[in-house]
Amino acid sequence: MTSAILPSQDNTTETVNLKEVLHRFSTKSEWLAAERQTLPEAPRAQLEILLREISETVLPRCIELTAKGATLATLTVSSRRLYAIVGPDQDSSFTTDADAREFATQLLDLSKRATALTTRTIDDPSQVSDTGNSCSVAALRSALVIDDRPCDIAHLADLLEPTALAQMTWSGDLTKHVFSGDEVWKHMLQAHTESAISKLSDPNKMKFPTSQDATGVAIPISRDAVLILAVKDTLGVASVSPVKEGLKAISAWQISDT
Amino acid sequence: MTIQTHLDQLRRTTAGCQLTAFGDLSSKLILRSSAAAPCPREVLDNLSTKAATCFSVLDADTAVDLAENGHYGQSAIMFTPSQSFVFARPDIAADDVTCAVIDNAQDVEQALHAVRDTVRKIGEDNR
Repeated sequence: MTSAILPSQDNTTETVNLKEVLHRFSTKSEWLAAERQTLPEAPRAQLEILLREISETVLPRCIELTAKGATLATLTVSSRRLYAIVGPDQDSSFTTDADAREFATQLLDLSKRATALTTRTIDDPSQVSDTGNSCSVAALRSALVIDDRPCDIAHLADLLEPTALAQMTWSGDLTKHVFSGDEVWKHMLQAHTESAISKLSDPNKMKFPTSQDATGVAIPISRDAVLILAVKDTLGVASVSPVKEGLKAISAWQISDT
Repeated sequence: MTIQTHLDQLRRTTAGCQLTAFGDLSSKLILRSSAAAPCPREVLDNLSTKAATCFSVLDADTAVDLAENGHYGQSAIMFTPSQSFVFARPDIAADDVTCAVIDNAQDVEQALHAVRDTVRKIGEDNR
């Protein structure tokens, strides 16, 4: 007979996490609703909370996102999938029939504005199936370039995001990018990104120095703004940032790698 | 001052700078360089390729839109987790490029200002 001692610290962590999940699955949604959560300030941390909420919701529920007491949007969630995002007063600007990229773009925007969330039961489960397409958390993570693996592109995106005037991220297909920020910069970000990617993928053109490491280019576009573009494998981020903050983010990202 | 003197000064006064160089973008050749230790030709060739790659990302439409601000296309930085490569030239059409290779986690903005300043000084000396 053989035996193995599992690391106690990891074991404890797993037990606590499992308890949390079991508690959430076994708790009536009205009680969960009573446990109103205050969201953290950092947008990416808020996104993580939202994605966790979707990932842990099996029975049909609505997740209501609020800021200063006003409802921003209601997410319809069931079977650990996102079915719809509806604005206040059934605002048509939100979508009920979208792909992962559109959902991801809206979640990213909401995560920057929402300060609290509450959940409530959907009494009639047929309401969920009637709302159209649904999207898994894995697909949302992919669209948002949030990877479970350590990934330096995602980290650079995190560092750039708080001060970026505009930012786009993509995973795999560049045309299915997620854009956030001022639309004024969208065309320029796309043009530069396509130019850079074509040089990466065309063996007859000049390549970036290595495909092993994340590699980026920063191009000052005015006295105050810099365009930053970085890729690794199929993941990428492009942003227009204030010069000082953007270049500081690059240094901070390099520090984190040492 | 000669170009070589400017490159030496840039390397010595910029934090974390290992190598500075002056080259030609169209021929992708490094013409002058300054390094603390002897630098293999391959490293310099690679540096000129990086410079050309960086500036080749520029977009013609954007260049027209931002032509009057005098910043777009004059400088670029390539970065990896371990190094930053700072490039600057007198204007968007110039082939003369000044380069500085900076250790990771150094102040990239300070290095960018230093390289731009060197480009300006080299230009003034060669009028």
